Amino acid sequence: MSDPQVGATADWRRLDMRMLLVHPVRELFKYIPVLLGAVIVGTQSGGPAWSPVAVAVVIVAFALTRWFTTSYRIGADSVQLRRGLLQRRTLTVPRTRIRSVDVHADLMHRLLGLVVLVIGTGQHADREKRFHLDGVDARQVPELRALLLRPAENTEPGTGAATGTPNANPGSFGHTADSGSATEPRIRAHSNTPAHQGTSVHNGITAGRSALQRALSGDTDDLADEAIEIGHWQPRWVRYAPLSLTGLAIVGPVIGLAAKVGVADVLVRSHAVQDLTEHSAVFIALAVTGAVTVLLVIAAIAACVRYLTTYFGLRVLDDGAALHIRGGLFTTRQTTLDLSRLRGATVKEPLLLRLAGGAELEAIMTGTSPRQKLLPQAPRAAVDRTLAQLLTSGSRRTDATPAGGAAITSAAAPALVALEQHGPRARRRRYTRAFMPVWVLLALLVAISLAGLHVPLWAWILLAVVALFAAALAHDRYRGLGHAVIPSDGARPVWLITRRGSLDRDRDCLEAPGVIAWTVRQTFFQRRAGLATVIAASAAGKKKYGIVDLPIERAWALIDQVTPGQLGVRAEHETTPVPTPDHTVAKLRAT
Amino acid sequence: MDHLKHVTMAGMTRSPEVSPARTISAAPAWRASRRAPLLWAAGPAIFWAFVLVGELVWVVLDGSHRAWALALVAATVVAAGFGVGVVPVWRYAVHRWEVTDTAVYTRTGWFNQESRVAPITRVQTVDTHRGPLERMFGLATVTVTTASSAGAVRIAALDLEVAERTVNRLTDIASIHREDAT
Repeated sequence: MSDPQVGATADWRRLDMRMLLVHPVRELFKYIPVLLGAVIVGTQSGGPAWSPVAVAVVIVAFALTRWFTTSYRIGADSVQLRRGLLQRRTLTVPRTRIRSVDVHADLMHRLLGLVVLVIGTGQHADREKRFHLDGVDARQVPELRALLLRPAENTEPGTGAATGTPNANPGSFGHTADSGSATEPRIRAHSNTPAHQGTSVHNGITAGRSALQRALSGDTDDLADEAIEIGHWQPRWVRYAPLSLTGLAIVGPVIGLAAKVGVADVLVRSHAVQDLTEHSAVFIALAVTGAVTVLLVIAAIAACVRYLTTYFGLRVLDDGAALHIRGGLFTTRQTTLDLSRLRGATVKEPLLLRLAGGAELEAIMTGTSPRQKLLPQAPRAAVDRTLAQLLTSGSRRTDATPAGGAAITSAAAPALVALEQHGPRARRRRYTRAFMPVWVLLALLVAISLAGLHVPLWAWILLAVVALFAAALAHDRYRGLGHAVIPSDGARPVWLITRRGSLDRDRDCLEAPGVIAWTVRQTFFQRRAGLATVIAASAAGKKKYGIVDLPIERAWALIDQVTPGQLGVRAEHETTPVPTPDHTVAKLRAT
Repeated sequence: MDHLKHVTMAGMTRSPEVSPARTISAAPAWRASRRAPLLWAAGPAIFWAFVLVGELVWVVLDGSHRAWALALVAATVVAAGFGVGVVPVWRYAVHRWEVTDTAVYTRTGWFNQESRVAPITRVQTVDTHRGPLERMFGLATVTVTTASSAGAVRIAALDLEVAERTVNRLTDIASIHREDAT
């Protein structure tokens, strides 16, 4: 590297000096309760006035030790981080296992020109075990990134793939497992050429990494020249923010906290509330409606604020080897996702968002952050466009495909293709299940009236309303239910698309190489209806992707379509070692 | 758009040459151990024995509600008979497994049934597990895990010797496939 300061040396290095400013402020904020406690105790017991100051000094001193006790080293074949005052901890990451280098910076870091660098190894790690360099100069980032992502000189570059690291999947893109390609990335890695041509170049983790490193070695702005922007956030999308009820998730804890502190007691005892009983029912109804409206408005505003601060200026860039997501108003984030980890994408359309014509987009990835959000609440058209571009991205753009619009259309098929419905039996099951509470309620009311008690009119109205909701829910749930299999066109893998749900509807697009195992589930009632739930197990994303209530005969055909031969065909002449009892087989195959 | 339609049509019109009756997945060939029903009966038997003892104590001690108590005992006996007598046999009839050169297949359950298949290329670990009851009956459970937490295949109630052979065979086959399993 050009700068000897960040070169691969065996020296232990400290983080940036400016962290000596950041740590005390951060720790003081963290220990505000302790400080308050010290102040209160000090004033009540008449103790010396300097006791809070002493506590603050201890905290600051403790914070300062963080800088002195933390050091890191970028060695020839591993990266090490040493930290902790009393409990010393040394994290060692083999350089071949580094999958991503993410950068984020909160407001204070940004003021001081610092960033936090997080090294991802494709394994789940909690905060303690995560390899993060909290506080390096922002200007060092491109060099550090390039250095960290460069294949280690001394080690054999192929070892990462050969030992079966979780993220190396030869043949995950373009075509199904091709054992011959396993050697190619190794050769590629030695020549260290950028991966942009050939059909199997992208099949190796090493080739991917070299391209990743190439993309990252440039500055932020250089990247924009090479990469394609596949998603660009727009401020006016904020109108979708209140529709996800995230606002309630923010306001909820605040209300809970207020209730704990005793605001509820004060409210109940207050005159205004005690006088309520003297007012008419209409007044109470109005008051409750008003309160709920105010709550919803506050929740909506909270959701909008959160949306704007988190996703401000969000851009999703695709350079053929990795996705780069960057954005944020106060805390900025730059996330890099290795495209060789990508197995598909999920379009999330919860009911309210769907009614407003919006959706969210999530990437399905193996390793860390298996469900990485690519686009927050956004117009459906924008989500579809990003998804289509993601699926036609560099790694999938192979020479074998026909050029022009047709290629893009077929690559974007998972985003657009119409889904097959699951038929009348699946529809009936939706209604049966949705009406369950209606029958329970009806039985209850009938039992009460049979017992000679009076059932008020509003109870029956309530029943009718519940029945209406159940019918609407069942209808929408059936409409949402569907799946599709897009056969491979030679260059691209088979795609499995499945959609389910009403209030919370997900359209999952998963590529066949991402499917590991299959489960066909049949409850007693499903067997009677001749239906089955097919679950595709994957190492990525949600780990299981279900196709609910599919007619059993189509279930087996579906599995065979997505992963041909996996069901295992028994040769005609082959006799089964143990004769099968007829009744169980008949039960399973009943259609 | 025309191209897209073509893609979809191809997907839908493809008639599977594989009829479900002939796939291994729909009906794996091998059964669980002959002693498997004993194992599946033993657990519920212990549970219901405790419940029955408790109820009989109630019958003896509380004279005022004897009719209710006896009805409860009768219901318990019926439930226990179902759990100990019927369910294990039902399970045994459903339970199948098979290991081929390419995949592991199981079919499990009774009221709710489940067929699973995991290709051997995706197998990550093969574990044998023996609980106290299983040791008593000389049985073992083989669990085959994959990179997906939802993709583990459990082959329950195998004769110990069969289980050991299966583990050896699986590790042998899995070691041939050295590619990554995600």
